[in-house]
Amino acid sequence: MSRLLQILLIFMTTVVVHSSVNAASKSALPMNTMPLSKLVGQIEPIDLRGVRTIYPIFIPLSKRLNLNKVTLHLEYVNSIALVGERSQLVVKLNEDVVAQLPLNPKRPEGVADIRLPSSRFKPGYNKITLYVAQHYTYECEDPDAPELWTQVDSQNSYVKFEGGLNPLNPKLSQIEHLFDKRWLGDYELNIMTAAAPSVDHARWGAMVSQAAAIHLEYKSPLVRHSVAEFNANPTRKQLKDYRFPYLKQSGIAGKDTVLIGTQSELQPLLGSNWSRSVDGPYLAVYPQDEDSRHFVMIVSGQQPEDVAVAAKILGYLNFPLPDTRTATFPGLQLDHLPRFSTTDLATTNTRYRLYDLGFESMTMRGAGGGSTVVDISLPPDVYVAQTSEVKLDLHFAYGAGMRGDSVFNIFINGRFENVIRLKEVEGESVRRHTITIPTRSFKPGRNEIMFAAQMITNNSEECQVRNDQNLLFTLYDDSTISFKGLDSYVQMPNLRLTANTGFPYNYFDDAGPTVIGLGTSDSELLSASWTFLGKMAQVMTRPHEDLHYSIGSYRDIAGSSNAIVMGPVRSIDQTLLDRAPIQLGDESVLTFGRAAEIGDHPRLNGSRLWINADEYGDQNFNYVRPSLQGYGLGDYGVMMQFGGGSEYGETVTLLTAMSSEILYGAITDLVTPEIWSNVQGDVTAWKQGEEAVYARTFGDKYYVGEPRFSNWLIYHFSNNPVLFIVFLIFFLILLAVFIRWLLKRFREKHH
Amino acid sequence: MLSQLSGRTLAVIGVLAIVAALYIAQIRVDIGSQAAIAYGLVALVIIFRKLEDRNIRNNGDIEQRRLLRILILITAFFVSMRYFAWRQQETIQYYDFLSLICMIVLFMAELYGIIISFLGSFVNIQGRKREHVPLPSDPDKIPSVDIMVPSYNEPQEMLEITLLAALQVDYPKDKLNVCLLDDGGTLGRRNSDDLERARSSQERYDTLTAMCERIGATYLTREKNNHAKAGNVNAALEKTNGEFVLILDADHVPSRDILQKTVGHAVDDPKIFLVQTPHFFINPDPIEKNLETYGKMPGENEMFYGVIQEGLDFWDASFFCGSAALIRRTYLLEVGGISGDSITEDAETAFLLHAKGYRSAYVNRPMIAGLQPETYSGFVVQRMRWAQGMVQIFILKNPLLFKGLKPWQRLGYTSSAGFWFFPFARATFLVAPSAYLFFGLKIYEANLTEFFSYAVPHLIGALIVTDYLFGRYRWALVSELYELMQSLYSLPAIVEVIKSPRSPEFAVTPKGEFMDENFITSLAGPFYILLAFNVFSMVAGFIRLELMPQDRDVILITMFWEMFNISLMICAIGSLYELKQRREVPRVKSDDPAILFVHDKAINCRIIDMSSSGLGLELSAALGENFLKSINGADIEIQTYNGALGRNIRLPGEVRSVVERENGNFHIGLQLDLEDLKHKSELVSLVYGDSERWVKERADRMPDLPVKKTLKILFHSGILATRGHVVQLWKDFWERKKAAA
Repeated sequence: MSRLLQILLIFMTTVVVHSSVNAASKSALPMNTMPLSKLVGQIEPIDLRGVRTIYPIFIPLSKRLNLNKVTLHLEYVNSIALVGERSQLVVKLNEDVVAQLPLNPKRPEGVADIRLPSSRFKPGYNKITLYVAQHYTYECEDPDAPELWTQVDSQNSYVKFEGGLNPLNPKLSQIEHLFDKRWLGDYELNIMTAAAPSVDHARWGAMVSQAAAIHLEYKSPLVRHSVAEFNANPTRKQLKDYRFPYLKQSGIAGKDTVLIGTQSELQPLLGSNWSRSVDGPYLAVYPQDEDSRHFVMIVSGQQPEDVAVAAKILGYLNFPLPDTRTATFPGLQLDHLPRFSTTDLATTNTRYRLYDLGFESMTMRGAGGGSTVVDISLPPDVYVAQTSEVKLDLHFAYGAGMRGDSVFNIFINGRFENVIRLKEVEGESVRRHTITIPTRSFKPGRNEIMFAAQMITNNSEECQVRNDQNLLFTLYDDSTISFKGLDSYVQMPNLRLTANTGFPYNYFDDAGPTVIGLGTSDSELLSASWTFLGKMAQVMTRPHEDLHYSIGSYRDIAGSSNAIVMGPVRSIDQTLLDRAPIQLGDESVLTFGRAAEIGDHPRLNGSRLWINADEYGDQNFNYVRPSLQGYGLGDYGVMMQFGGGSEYGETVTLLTAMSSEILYGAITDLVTPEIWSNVQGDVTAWKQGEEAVYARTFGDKYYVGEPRFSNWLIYHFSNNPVLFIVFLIFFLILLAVFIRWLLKRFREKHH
Repeated sequence: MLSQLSGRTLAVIGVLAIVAALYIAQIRVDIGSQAAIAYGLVALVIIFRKLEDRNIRNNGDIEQRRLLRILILITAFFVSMRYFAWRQQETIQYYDFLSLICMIVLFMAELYGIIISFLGSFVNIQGRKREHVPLPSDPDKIPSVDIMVPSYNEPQEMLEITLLAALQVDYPKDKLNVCLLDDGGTLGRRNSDDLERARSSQERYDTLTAMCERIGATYLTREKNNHAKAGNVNAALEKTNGEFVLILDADHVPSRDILQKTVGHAVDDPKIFLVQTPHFFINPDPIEKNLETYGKMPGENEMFYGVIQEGLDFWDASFFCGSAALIRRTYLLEVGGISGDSITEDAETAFLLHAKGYRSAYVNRPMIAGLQPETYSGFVVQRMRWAQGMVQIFILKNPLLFKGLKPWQRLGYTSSAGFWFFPFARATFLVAPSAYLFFGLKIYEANLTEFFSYAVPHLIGALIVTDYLFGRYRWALVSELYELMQSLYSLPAIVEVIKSPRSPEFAVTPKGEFMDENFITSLAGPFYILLAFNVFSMVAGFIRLELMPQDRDVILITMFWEMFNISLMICAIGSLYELKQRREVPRVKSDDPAILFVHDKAINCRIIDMSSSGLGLELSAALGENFLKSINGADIEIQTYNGALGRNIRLPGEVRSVVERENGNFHIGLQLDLEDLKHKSELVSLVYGDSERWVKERADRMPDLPVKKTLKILFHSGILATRGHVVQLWKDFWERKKAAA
């Protein structure tokens, strides 16, 4: 009996443990409440104006998520001038009406919780549309009357998701669903090595981390390193049912895991059967044995170089991965791979068809018109003279019978730049309309050109029947954009440029490799570097191609073109620290003294503060080196950039904190948009858990790039007019002395 | 090291320096930096000027002063070059065909301006001030000189004064021959089929022959009036044989020292073919007269004779101006006398002789006193001839290509001849703002920031340089006014030359005209139209400002420009109102002590003005009003020191007026009895004989006033004159209405 009871107890314990694990997994929906402000990317309220306004909100949904319940919580205020019986707020989900809310002028503040049918959510982007019909009279009315408004509070309104993850049946070809950019909330990735990590492991892990980041697009993966544990005593069930019974599941449960290592390293964990299938660069993906909602991916190969190739393959968005769980790529080498990378940087003296930039001819219709966006990337170190212009030759057609103030606007990165007036009442087809835009309206890196038609019908009086079927504008994809005068020259250090474009890392293909120098080999520091590089890959829009790791020693850094150094303060080479713009001692703290805000309006996503702005003006920074010695760095993370000279490469970016643990925490904060978007100067500091960013330039300037001589002159004379004046004085005096001498000679000879 | 370089190497260095300057000038830095640089350079120009002023005050190192002068010019010119590079690169864009045409025309006008400015800076970079070169001490080495006074229709009285002065020129009498070259009494005219012409010509011939015989001059005439003044001189060259020829216009009365101060230069340098001296005028030109600025403001010609000719002389490119010049006969005959394809044969003759390798000299000391045309119509006739003639030289001889000239002479002549294309630019600047304000055409693509960063520093720099080079000789905006006054009539004349370069004929400038009442010149019509057009454009500007607030910057800039044009037009309209002439014979200011013998008393007095017929005296009020009034009509004698003759002279006469002056003293007007040739000669030498008088008067006419003050005087005079013009128009209107009634 006791034996029976004992067995029963063991069984019940196993069931309870199992179910608790599953329960924990089920509740792990990445984020269950998301404010509208995050979904629409604006903290300001959503304004719905006019008789009829549509406001779309897009909700990403990963295929891996299984939604049980979705609730939209809306808080809004409407105008008290509305006619209640005719005015309403309609909520649609993927064009189906799911709720109608009256806009009551007597109770203008409204709160509603709307159940959005989870079955109508589809993987991909789901559209919730806020549609208002607003009227102030039963008679004819001005559709743009100012009293026609409703405002939705974007910060207090939210969407609440309830549900869990679906079981996976992963294949390599589904990699974009595994690293899914539509993932809600933070995405954590576990990169596992078979043993204590070497520089090769660090490099492979960085490649995998970057690959995941590239697929996740804007969502930074929070990467963790762990060492795989060997399950020395697998149970019979494990031996029977588990694909990898010798891999301890407790180390990977509840998180997507990528196992990296050579064939020989992984063989003890994955078994000899597995080992036999590896005959070159190897990739495999399986559902985890104990948690099928997460995957385990294997990146391996017979030789270390094979592992590198396999890791690199993951980072190419357009590499044709097979529709299988495993694949080997024997004979594939690194130099075969660049053809899968996308090089889409605009180059000088080049004309691009919009078609080449991914745009297809489109027609904009109706009173709202519509807009379309074309992306183009400029080199991160681009320099152009102020006079340089980008030429747009547009091919378009528009309909007849529009009002004379209809326009076709052109915006660059959200800023209005130019316009075409659609003035021909009879309509028009224009083969080539040339518009010029200052090249400096474009920024280094990715740029967004938005074409927006605003068309107005001729019958815009009240109570007139309005025909908006004639409001048509077609932009053809054979329209072109031409760049001239782009040059390569940039002042460094510039952490903002690095944060925006990744420059100078992974840019000069012909220069030496970038070296990642780690002060120690602990997992936290490795995780921090992988998380950071993932973010860098995202801003660079492709993985870094030539990375080398150096752990504990800085000897390998010498000779690199650029370096990223990470580690606790005490682990950093003192000679390197000496080059930094501010000195960090054994016990350091960021004593920013009296900090002052820049600008009148502090930004919600991080207030930018100058260090001792009123004490150390920019003009004095060469003479004042604020000492941070004497205290600990506390919870702060510090990012610094400076010239490394012959010892450490052209540019060194140093990320440090008091310990590896703090540094990892700091890096996970750093890669959030709130902190990352405020990185600038040559020193940026931020505190874990806070959105405040402290940034300033302290160190010496240097320049990167080899511009044409004329642009070199323009750059320096523009940035330093005093230099130009001094040069001119020198030149003019020289010229005057020469002329005087000539005149004297003339006098002596001819008078 | 530099001194060992060959001319070719230096030329290469020079070209490289120019290329470097052009390259630097076109570097297009950011607009903020451009503003800093442009205003920084303008500040430098001002600093260089201050340093040069200090150098002059302290009588500092001349080489340092020269360096500063070069720095001022090249720094300011560099600012203009940057402006022009920007203008060329950024401000010309296609909007529509008409706008493009307007843009290009305005651009060309500015291009012309900047080229002329460059040539002006080149010419004036270092003027040549010649030291006095005395005549040879050996009398045998003193060359013979023929003084030639060509005449066509000038009155005998005028000619007699000029000839009497010429006969008294301080020069060995056996080496001097004074000739009247009369084209009014040629055989052809005396035998003309037009009986009235034949009679008057015969009468003139007889009168002038008798006069020449009486005073000791040689009367020369010829058979036919071929080739106007040049033909007249050339005919005389055949009948005379002096080694040198001093040519004087009929109204150009020489001082006694004219040969003493010129012949030495020619003897000293046997390659010299010309010694030119300034034309100094003792009456106002019509613009000075009508604006009543004569004596307060430097004369218009002072810039040319005071600065530019010295600059040209530095480059061995000063040229013959038709009178007051000594010419070497042998060289002159080498080019067939004074002749050429243009109607400015004087300049063209110098051009040809320079091309032959001969040299010229300019002695900047006024040694003749002449007359300017009295009326605007006479002024226009004179300036049209100059403009046409110089444009003819530019087209027919092209200084840049003509064989034989040195490079610097080419630039000098290009500057001199090219200047006369100014009517095109001036007309463009006058109508360009209206093209935008009135017709809405785009003429200049720039925003306010660019305008202030490029255009304004350029304008400031140009004003500073103009003031630096010519400020004492010509006030600000006076050039613009004179150009405006000439442009409307010179423009069609120049177009005519361009169409048919050999068509213009020599027109004698009318001088000695007498006006006994105020009137509006008959040439005022086009100015009314232009003023009305500019005013309408201004109104259009206000309307545009209201309707197109987004273009406010451009509209305001253009309206400011239009306002400038209207201000100039107002001054121009004022100067078209011809004021009557108070005196038939121009008077010369004086401050010479004298003794008046009247009623057996000898009274000390001062001669305060003088002319070729009488004197004005100032007598002290202490003599008593009764006494002073009692001498009115009395016969007197006046004794004074004649600086030109170096002795006292005593002249008889009669008191014609006694008027109390503002200072309480009395002005006595004397009419002198000049029946006796000796008295007349003495009076001529008293009035005209001493060139020091002209030197002083010239200096007096160039007060060193700040630009603000000169602008105030100019515009104040313009407004007053315009008021008179409007009142006269009103009067004429009512008179015509009355007459019609």
